[in-house]
Amino acid sequence: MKLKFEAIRLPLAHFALELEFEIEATSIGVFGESGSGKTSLLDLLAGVRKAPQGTILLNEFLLQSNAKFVPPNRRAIGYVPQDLALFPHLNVRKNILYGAKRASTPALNTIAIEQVITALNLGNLLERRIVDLSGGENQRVALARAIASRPNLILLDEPFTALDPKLRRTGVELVRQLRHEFSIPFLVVSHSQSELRSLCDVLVEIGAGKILRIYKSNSLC
Amino acid sequence: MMAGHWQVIEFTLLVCLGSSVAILAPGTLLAWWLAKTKSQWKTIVETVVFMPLVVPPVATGLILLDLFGRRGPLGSAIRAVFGVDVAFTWRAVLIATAVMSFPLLVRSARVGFDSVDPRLEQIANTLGASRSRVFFTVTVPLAVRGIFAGFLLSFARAVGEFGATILVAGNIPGKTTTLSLSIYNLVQLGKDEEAFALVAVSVLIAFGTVFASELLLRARANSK
Repeated sequence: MKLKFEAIRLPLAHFALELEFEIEATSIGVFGESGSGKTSLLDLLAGVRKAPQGTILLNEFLLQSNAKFVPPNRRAIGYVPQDLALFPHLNVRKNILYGAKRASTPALNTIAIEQVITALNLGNLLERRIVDLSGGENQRVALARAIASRPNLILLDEPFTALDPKLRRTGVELVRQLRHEFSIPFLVVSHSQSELRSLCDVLVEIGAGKILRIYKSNSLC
Repeated sequence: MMAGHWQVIEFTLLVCLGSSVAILAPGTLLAWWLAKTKSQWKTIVETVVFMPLVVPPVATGLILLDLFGRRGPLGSAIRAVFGVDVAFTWRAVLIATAVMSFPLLVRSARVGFDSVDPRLEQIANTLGASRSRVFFTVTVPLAVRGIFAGFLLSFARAVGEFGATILVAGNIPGKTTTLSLSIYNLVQLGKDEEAFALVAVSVLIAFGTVFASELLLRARANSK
C-alpha cells in the first residue's frame, strides 16, 4: 500500500496533529507515548474524524482533501479500535457478517467468510453472545469482522494492550496471519516498539502530534 | 361494573394505544436528533417539545381546539381534504392524548439514544454500512429499551389525560368519554362507588405500564 498524508492538521486537546509523510509498505507500525495522536491518526484514515485541512491518499485514492471527504463506509478500510467495539446486541456470527455486505474489492473478493472463521478458530463460537466471550475471543471476533468486510487496509489500535502475555503472543500471530493468509495490508498502533518491529515493514514514531521518524523495522534488528 | 364502563375502558385503551403508536416514529426520530445534534436550535426544539409537561393541560386543549376546530387552520384543512371533523370526535381524543404524552416518549427514547456508544456507530460505518443502515441495525436496537419504555410511559400518560381532552374533544358519552372523564362524570353524579371501580382500573393500567417501563430501563442500565 501507498499511504500519503499532505499538510494534515487536526487540532487536539493540547496540541495539533500535523502529518506530512509518504510511505509504501504492506505493514506499518505506529508507536509513541500515550496521547501523542496515534488513535487520531487512525481515526483520520478511517474517516471517523475529519481534519479541517490537508489531503490523505491511499493507493492514489483520495480519501480527503480540502474539497472532498470520502465517508467511512466508502473507504474500504477496516478498523479494529482499542475497545474492539463489538456490537453487543448481535451474536458472533452476526458481528462477523455485519461488514460482509460491502462491495468487494477486486484483489480480495476471494476471501470467503468460512475461510476467515476457520483461520481465526471461531467455528464453535458463532452463536455465542459477545458478553459471554473472553478477551482473546473478543479480539479474534473483532479481527474477523474487519477481515470479512474485505478491506483494502486494516487499522489496529493497540490490539494487544488488554491481553495477558500468552494471549499477546497469539494476538501477534493473528496479525501476522492478516499478512500471510489474507494479504491485507495493515497499519497497527502500539506503544510497544518491540512488538511492532516483529510485525511491520516500516515503523513510524509519533510524538506530540508530529512524526518524529520513519524507518524500516529491520534497520534496527 | 356496568356494560357502559367496559365500553369506556375499551375506547380509552384503543385510542391511547393509537395515539402512542402514532407518535412512536416521529418521537423516536426527534429523540435521536436531540441526542445527536449540535444544532443551535436544539434547546429551542427541546423546550417546545417539553412544553406540554408544564403548560396547564386545559391551555394545551384550548390551543388544540383553536387549531383543530371547524374554523381552525388545521381543522378546516382536514375537513376540506378528508371531509371529516376533528374537534369533539374520537380523533380529537387521539390528538390530545398524543400531544400530552409526546414529551414522555421523547424524553425516555432520548435517554436510550444517549446510552448508545458512538464508537459502535462509527465502526459500523467503517464496515461499509450507510448512515441509515447504522441507524436501523445498531442505534435503534441498542436504544430500543429506552424507546419502548417511552412508548409505555406515553401510553400510561395518555390513559390518565383529562384537561386537554375535555377541551378539544368534549365529554360526549359513548363518543369521546374516556376513563378519566368517566370518573369525573360519576363523581359529579355522586356515584362514588362506580367511580372508584374505574379509578382501580386506571391505577392498575398505570401501575402495569410504569412498572414495565421501569423494568426495561433497569435492564438497560444493567446491560451497560
